[in-house]
Amino acid sequence: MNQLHPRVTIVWRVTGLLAAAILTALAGLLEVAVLLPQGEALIYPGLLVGLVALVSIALAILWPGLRYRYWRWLVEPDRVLIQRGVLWRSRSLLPRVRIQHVDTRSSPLQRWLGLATLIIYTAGTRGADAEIPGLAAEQAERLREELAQLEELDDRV
Amino acid sequence: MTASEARDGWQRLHPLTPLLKATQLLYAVVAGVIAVSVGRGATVAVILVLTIVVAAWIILSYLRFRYKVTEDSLLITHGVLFRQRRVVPRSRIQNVDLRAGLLQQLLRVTTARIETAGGRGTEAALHVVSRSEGMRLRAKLVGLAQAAPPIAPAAVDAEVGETEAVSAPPVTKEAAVHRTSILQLAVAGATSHRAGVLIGALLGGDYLFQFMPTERILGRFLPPEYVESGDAVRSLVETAQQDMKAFLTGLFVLGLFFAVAGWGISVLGSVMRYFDFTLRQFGPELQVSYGLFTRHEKGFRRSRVQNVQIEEHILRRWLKLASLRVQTAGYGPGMKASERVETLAPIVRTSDLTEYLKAVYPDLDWEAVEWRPAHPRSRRRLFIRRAFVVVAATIALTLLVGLDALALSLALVPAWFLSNAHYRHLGHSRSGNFALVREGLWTRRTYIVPVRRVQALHFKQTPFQQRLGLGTVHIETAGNPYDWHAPRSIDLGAAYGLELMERLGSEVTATGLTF
Repeated sequence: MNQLHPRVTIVWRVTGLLAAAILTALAGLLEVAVLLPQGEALIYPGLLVGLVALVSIALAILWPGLRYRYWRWLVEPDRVLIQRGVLWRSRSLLPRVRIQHVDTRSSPLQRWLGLATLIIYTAGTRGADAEIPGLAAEQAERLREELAQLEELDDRV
Repeated sequence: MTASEARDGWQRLHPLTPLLKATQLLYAVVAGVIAVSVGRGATVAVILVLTIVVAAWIILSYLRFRYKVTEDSLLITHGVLFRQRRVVPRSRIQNVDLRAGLLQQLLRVTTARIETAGGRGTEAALHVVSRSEGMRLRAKLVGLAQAAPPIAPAAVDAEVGETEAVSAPPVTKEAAVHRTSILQLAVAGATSHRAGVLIGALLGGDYLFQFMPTERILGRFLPPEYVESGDAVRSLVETAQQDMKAFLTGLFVLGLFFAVAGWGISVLGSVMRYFDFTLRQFGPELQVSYGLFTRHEKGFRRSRVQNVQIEEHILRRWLKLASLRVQTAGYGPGMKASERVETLAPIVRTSDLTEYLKAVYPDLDWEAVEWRPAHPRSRRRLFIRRAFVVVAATIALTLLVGLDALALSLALVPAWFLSNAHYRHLGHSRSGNFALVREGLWTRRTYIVPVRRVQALHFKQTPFQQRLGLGTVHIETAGNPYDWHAPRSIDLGAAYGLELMERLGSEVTATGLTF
């Protein structure tokens, strides 16, 4: 099975760091706005913020590597396989005959890195399960075109 | 048809529509109430102006709303400021639901909702049309639309029948009818989850607001000197310290009273909701109608059923009863959970299940289904999951209360038995063109999914399942109504589960395109 484009870890790290920044800010707000006015003498001021920052930044940097290692995808003539998850693992099988339509999408960051996300829709409503996030843009385009050709498939079946 | 002003086939809604929408005038009143603070003159002015505006809006939108059923689609044009035109292809229509509240029933009108696959909710709602027009629409849009476009005679009301049925060729359709009697509905109410919830709600509600005649009951069974007015609990506690016998009698009678009251409401609710529940089958078309105050009439094609769910909770399992629901792709995720599944039988003897399932899946041989169990290691996982809770609770309580709390660890014994019972209710099976899965200890749910309706398959493993070499196969169908997860088969051996998924996958491919 194929791995994602290695640059996808950059996207994940950037979004992870953004989330870490927000979390840290929230922790700081909690400490300053809620705990301090209550007169709670904080034994170590900044401990909470520091811990949150440390853990969330460490996760944001390390986790994408693991995520990347377990991500696999494969487009076969009659089905698409997606395998992912570090702790909670899942493997999805999408029969080609059930694919309704296929999108590609790319955020500014992804575009800058030359990446795109391929989104595969079936009539199942949890369609969000079928996303391949880090593909080289031209490859995503090619796959989209390929997957959209259902008539051909119908003749074969 | 008096209701519709025919103009090139374009029809209006029922003339009573503006009247039934008159409740919207309440907005004017609400705005008026808000304006009260400004002054009386302002209030009157606001109410007057808004009433006129809203009334005009209601009438205009009625006048602008027109629909038309053509050979291959339903066309709707509407909109006061922005004109909209909508085309719903007939081949995409999953079901047409008619729903009439009490007032609508009295006026012999109904709201018709048209559902298609995909889309987040109701595709088009005709609010309101006459009952006979609703029946005609349903027959035209759902009733064997492709095979015989004209109206199915069974669904044509007498008044319409004269003009329209003449042109309809006699479609030979045999109606198989399943009715649910009031007694059965009462049993359904008595054995539903709701009964327990209601009893609890009554108890809690009365404790807070005292609306039940608990005083009178207590006064009769407890010695009067212990009865504290308005406080049943105190009265009982007081009595318990002085007069054990009176306390027990009082407690028993009170308990019985609440149980009967809660049960009564549940029974009544179930009878009213599902009053005169009838499932009719005209060949491939299914019609369900039920309800005392709000009358529901729903119709869908058998071929559009995505999956069937058999629900048996523990009380009903003992009584050999079950309820049966189907899921059609017409119900989108934007709708309430209760609207996304259609009841096929609110209550049915498990021995009669075969007959009901035949109505939906004629080629399913329910009696011959052989269930395959989950992997034996599943027992261990199910037990450890429960044991974890017991151990955590024991440790926490021991730290809080003292060593006595260690006795709680005895709960590991029932946990073991529960896990074994849980394991016995897990299962999966293949029968003909169907995949079947079931799970649930307290409420066992059995899903029957036609292979050609499978949209996607997943094999999922939690960290703990990975350690035990287990995994869960999820079977995704269209418009899945189940909020938490798709129909699934828990705790299969990892290799077996993956193989099962692959095999199902290639069988799905073999069924070809279905939409």
